[in-house]
Amino acid sequence: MGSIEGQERAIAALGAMLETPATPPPLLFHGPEGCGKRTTALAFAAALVCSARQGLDACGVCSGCQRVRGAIAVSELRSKSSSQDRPMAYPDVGLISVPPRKTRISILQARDICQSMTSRPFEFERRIYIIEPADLLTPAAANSLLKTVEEPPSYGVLILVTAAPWALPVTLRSRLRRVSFRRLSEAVVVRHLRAMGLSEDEAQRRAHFARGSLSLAADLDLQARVRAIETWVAILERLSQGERAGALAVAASEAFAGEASSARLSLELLLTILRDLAASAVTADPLLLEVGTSERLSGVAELLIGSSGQRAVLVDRLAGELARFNRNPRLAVEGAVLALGGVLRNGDLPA
Amino acid sequence: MLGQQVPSKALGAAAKTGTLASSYIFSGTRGIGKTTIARIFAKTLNCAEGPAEDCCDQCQACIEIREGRCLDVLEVDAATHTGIDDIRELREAAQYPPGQERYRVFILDEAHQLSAAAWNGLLKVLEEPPQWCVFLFCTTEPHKIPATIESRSLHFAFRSPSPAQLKGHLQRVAQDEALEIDSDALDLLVKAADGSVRDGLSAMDQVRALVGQSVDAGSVRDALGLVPGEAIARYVEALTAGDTPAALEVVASMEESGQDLRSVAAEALEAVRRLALDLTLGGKADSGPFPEQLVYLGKVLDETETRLRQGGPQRTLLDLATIRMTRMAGLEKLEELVGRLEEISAGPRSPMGGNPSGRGPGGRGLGSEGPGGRGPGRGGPGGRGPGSGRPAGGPQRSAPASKPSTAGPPASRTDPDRVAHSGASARTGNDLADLSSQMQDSSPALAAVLRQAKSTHCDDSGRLRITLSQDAGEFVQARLSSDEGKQSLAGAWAALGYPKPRQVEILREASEAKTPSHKALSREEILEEARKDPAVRSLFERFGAVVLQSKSIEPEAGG
Repeated sequence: MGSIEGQERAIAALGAMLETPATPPPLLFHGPEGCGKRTTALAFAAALVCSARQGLDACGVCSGCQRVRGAIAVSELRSKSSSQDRPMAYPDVGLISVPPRKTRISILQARDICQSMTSRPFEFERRIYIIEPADLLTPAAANSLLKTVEEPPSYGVLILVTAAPWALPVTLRSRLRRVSFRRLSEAVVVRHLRAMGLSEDEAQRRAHFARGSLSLAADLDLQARVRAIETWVAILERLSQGERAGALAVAASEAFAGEASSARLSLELLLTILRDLAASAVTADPLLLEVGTSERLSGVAELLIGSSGQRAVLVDRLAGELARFNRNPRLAVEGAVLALGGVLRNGDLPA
Repeated sequence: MLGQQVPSKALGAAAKTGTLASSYIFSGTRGIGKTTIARIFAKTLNCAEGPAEDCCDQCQACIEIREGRCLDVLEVDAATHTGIDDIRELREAAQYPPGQERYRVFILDEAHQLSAAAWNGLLKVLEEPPQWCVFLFCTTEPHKIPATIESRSLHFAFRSPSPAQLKGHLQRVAQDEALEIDSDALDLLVKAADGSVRDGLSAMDQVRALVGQSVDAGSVRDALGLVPGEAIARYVEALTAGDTPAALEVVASMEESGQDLRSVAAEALEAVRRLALDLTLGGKADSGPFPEQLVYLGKVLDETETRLRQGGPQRTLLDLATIRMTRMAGLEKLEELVGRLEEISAGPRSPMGGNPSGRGPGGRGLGSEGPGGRGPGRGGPGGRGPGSGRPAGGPQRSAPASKPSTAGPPASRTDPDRVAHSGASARTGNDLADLSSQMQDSSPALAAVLRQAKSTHCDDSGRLRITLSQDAGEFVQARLSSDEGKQSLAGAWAALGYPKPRQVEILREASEAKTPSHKALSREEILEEARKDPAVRSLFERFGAVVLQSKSIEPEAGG
């Protein structure tokens, strides 16, 4: 656990808990995506059950450490297999997440946790359950955890991990000790990516796009991003020539109107493009997009009319489209294309 | 119990006299002592020293109940055991008299999660309970309890302790635990507690775990992950001053330091709210930002915070909202100014008049800015079209500086049209306004059309004349002249208390000789005409307005 970077405050709080013999209170790990919450939760669990712990770090070889690794493996197996009602393989340590082909953590799983918590641990001093992502607990599941979280048994440790703590019922949040995680700095992300064997240049570009999320930086499809940016530039150019139909055709022909996740991504990119255009008019603030695309962008800037305030209003509308997005991705992208017409010179069709 | 004197007293009295309801509902927000009072009540009912108003906490019964091993006091997690089967077991248990104690107490915690069938299963027991049986329902969501249950129970709604009570309580706890803590830090903890004693105590624990026995405001902010107060102050200051680069820089530095940008938006919203309250309640509205601007900032911050919750690129969204807030703040002020100018001049309108279509500044509420105002009537800065791009930033930003000292929206901003018309002739103007509002209910469309009218007059022979202004559209005239329109007008006129007119005539104001066709005007002529308008003239005189674009309005655009 000592080797986790960029979360000094969280590690300090957890370290203080490890030093006392008392069982830690039920915990809520919260912070942005990809900043190390889950990794820390597992390291903390291992440190709690490890028989040869040195300082903050578990030994990694004792039975306790193996049980924690086993819990991860079981969780991964379960997320792939279809049967979800198998008993927990390692009753003392468990990682509970969304079952396969489900979208939430159900009350059955929560009851399972409450039930297991009533019996003493089998092998260790502690019984540890990690729930991740806790914001996907159904309301009924969250409610059924209330009493257990309020007064856990002397050996019970519960860790709820989430990037959206506000999505938890306030009654549950109120019973948890918060451990807040920060967004990672770009330097830390770059260092991790370098350690994964990426080149310096690629690590920089990925870290820049990911804005402090290590998991996003690692999974990022750089080429798809660049392609999506270029598509938007093409759409902007068509719109500027008054070709709404053409612009819509480009939007439709590109893959990003199809798959939900990529459509969302491209709308986010569009927002970022417009943010950069709006910001560059008033300030020399560094661009969010990578430097390589900025020349193309300044070309687009020539096509835009209106003050940056007006652009901001437009982008506000696009952000609205993004919010509507879950209902109909294709509609959202097309709505965005049509809205764009409004800020482009000659973008209006004759009335 | 902190702040729960009423339920404590009532329950104490009930326990002493033995006049018990069959069931009690304890409701209130999280962490203010519902379950605790339920347990104390169970002890008081069964205490060996009783019946008394309070329990001794030392007898066998009290100890057993405290340790949760008393057979006659059953605490049920109703959020996990939600079904009818669980309730059937309870119902069965209720039939047997208590083993050792005086009462059999069932505490159903988080009762709002019980299923409908489970609640119904309880109805008969609650109606005619065995004499030894008491049910206590604790819940944060009393509205989920069926009315049939509530009517059989005594309901105590627990109140949140006041911030002052909470602060005193936290201070006492800190003293008992030899924790040094200053007043500012306590205020932050009270804010984090948000009305819940438990939240306050757990926040204090959290801080102590991290910083030890001496706590100040800075360490509380750090330990609770709050955004540094001075950064928020800088951000809000930049927003109100319309300083885009400074505001963007704060956002960038917040991101750099790993802060959650959603919290930045949330805390900025809170700061703006405080500022707006200070301004309106403290009466310092003459200097600095004015309340309407702050309300607008608050609206955008609130929207942004909601969007950040839904996910999406944090930095991008907050940056865009920041640009929008700083660039639009000036425009809001300008709108208010134009609204007031219109009120002052209230004269006839020229093509360049500030409010040709009712879409202009006065008629629109705060924060409804947008690319909708396509006409030239927006007074320059917001205008669309070639040539009005970048330079538009200039006048927009300079506007706030010239804000007159009389603040506050003019009373008649909601309906500038009416004000404008009443200027022509007070008597007839009022009749017209009355007529319009009279018709508002029966035929809103006609009422709206009627606002285009100039004056109204009814002579002795019962002929009602409605004169339209010369630039009113064909549509307006046709609409009012139709049989239906005439009938409605006659009816509304009679409803105002005048004799019912026998005839209704729709006239058009006689064209003055010097009014040429709009289309025949050249750019210079339009400008010349526009400069004669009092509203436009005062724009030029007081604010040094610059002409960016001029355009004549088609008559239809007025409707």
